[in-house]
Amino acid sequence: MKANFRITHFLFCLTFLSVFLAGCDKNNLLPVDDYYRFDKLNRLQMSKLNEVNYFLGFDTQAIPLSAVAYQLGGTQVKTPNQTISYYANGEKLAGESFLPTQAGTFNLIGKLADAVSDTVKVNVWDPATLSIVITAVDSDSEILSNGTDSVEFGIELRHGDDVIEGDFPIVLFVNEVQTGSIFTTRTPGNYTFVAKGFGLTSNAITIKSVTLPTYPLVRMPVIFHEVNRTTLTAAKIKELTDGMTKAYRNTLNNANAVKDANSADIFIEFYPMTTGPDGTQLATPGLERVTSTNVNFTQEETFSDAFNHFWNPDQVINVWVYPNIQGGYANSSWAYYPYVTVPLVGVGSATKGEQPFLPFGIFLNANHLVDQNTDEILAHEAGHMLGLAHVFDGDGSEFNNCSTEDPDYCSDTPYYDRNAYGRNMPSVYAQRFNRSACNGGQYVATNFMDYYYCYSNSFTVQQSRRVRHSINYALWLPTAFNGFQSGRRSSTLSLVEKPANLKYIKPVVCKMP
Amino acid sequence: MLLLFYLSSSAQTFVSDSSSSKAGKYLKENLAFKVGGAVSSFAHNGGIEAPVPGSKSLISWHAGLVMDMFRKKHYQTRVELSYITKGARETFGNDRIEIESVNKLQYIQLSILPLILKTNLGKVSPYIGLGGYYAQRVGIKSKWKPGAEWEDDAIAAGNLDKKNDVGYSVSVGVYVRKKSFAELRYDGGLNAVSSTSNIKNRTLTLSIAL
Repeated sequence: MKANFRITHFLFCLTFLSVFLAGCDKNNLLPVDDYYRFDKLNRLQMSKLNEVNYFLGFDTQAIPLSAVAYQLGGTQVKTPNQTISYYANGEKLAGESFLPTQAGTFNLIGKLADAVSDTVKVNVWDPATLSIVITAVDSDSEILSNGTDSVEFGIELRHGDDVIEGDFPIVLFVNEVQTGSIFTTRTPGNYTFVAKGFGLTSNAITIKSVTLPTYPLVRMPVIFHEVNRTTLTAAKIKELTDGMTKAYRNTLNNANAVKDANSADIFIEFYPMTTGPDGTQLATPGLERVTSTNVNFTQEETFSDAFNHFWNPDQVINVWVYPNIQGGYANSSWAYYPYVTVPLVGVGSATKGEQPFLPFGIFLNANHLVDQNTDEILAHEAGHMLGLAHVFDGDGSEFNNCSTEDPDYCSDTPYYDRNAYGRNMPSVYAQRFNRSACNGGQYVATNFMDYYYCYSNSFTVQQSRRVRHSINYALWLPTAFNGFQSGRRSSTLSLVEKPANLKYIKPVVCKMP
Repeated sequence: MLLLFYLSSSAQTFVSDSSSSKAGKYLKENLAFKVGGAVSSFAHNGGIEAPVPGSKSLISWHAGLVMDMFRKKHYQTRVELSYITKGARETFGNDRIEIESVNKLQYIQLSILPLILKTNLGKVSPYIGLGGYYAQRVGIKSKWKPGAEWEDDAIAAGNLDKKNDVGYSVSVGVYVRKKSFAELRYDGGLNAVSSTSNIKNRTLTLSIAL
């Protein structure tokens, strides 16, 4: 019986021992991925990297990594960063950072429990395979030495033809002196720009800084053909031609607003024509009152009708004043671009001596004589006649979005998306004069070749060059090129005959508010 | 096998002892109050490992009423209704971090254990039992230590979302003077306490009943 008792207690103790020994097998540190706290992780979102480009030899710090965990429903789950395992191109990283050692593109992800994060990429570059390229943004190779005209440089870091996006420690130098990306000067001369960074040196760009151009003064007579109306007077015509003169002499500023930094004198003046085709003095200088059997006019009808009163454009600038314009142009004035014998981008070419095949001049809507700054309108339309386009892409018929090519071929006139401007017209009146340029800048509209709302007080240097090109090489203008002697005396002139096969040509249409 | 052998040998011993009928008389329909300590942990993959007393397991208490029924000389059935705290104190980690987690799951538990007693040892009667339990959770407290401080962990508490538990119990103990007893019991949950993880309760209790 005693033996039986011992056996029983031995077995009893063995049972206790077996239970405890089972517990001793327990591994105290459980894998973090098994932590049931993370059972319902739905999304792991990698935090945005401070810098997606890493330059071997220049960047020495490891790239810190982190991610945010979310449960179903979007609730953020507090998660120590060390619980997340990070991988670069599938290879597990030792910690919460990535220290690149070779060039390439690396996809970085995090994992926690069953959640796998989105991917962030880091590009690791060997600078020896890169190049720096600088370009002069919206500028030709010249600027004015006036302290305000500027040239802006774009700096690109490239891998082959691919541009690497980002801000990099690349410095621009002008004549070996560090400078900013926008350069102005008051000192004429040549300036050579290069950019340096990552041990690389960019291409060189040389900009010439010049003083404001001056030109011989050109004076052009103007005749207003006022159709079926008697609104115009000698005083009004004098006022209008004086206003045009001020515009082209860089002194018209009806709103007394700040002018463009590149505003320039184009050295052109306008005056009322004093004699008619028959050689007699006009009763009212600059005015011919004419009648038409038509009461209302479409634009196409004015195209043909104008030939009934088309004075030789080599001797005088024709301004037809039509009332009651019908259709889509009821609130528009318009004009035609010139034709030049020496090419000018944006306008047509013709042979010297060619007769007008369109009513080359200005069509002034009679409505624009009332409650408008008519001198600004005439300066704008004369600008078209002299080779200037709108500063934006489009006209009164059609507005286009930001184009890749400068729509007026003048890099000193910023351009903008007229459609977007119309859609987002500010309710505050003063803000309507602000523009968002297609290159991302902001500016105030001052150019005569813009539309409302605009202070209309400036032509720029590059516009002056286009105009002077037209003065030198365009047909059908009262210029020396076409045999006209500049001065206040009008020469004997003739009428232009309507071509037998006259075909309608659409003008540059300018709609007013 | 070890357990079955032990039960078998104990039963034979009781039958040969004529004084055991007297001891059974005192144990009949005995109602007692039971109280004790508990050591709990979670089994993560359904294993039978028992909690180890110490800092790495959850240490708590339990109390309840005990009734012995259907008493025979060497056999009886014990029915218990008790309050017990189960759960786990665990450390999760990798080579960069260790996170402590404590989850206390409070249950009202009904247990039924058939017992086999050895009654020929004078004032003490060792026994062994094998039974089951049903537990209804009445509360949960979770906290974790992601850094230097402990924080409430509502997320873990939410993931331990199963409100009831059933399982088996293995008990060894000893009656003293046929009235009171001391017992060591292992409770193994059969149901997971989470709908998203295969986590099961494992509890070791040491109790006395008066």
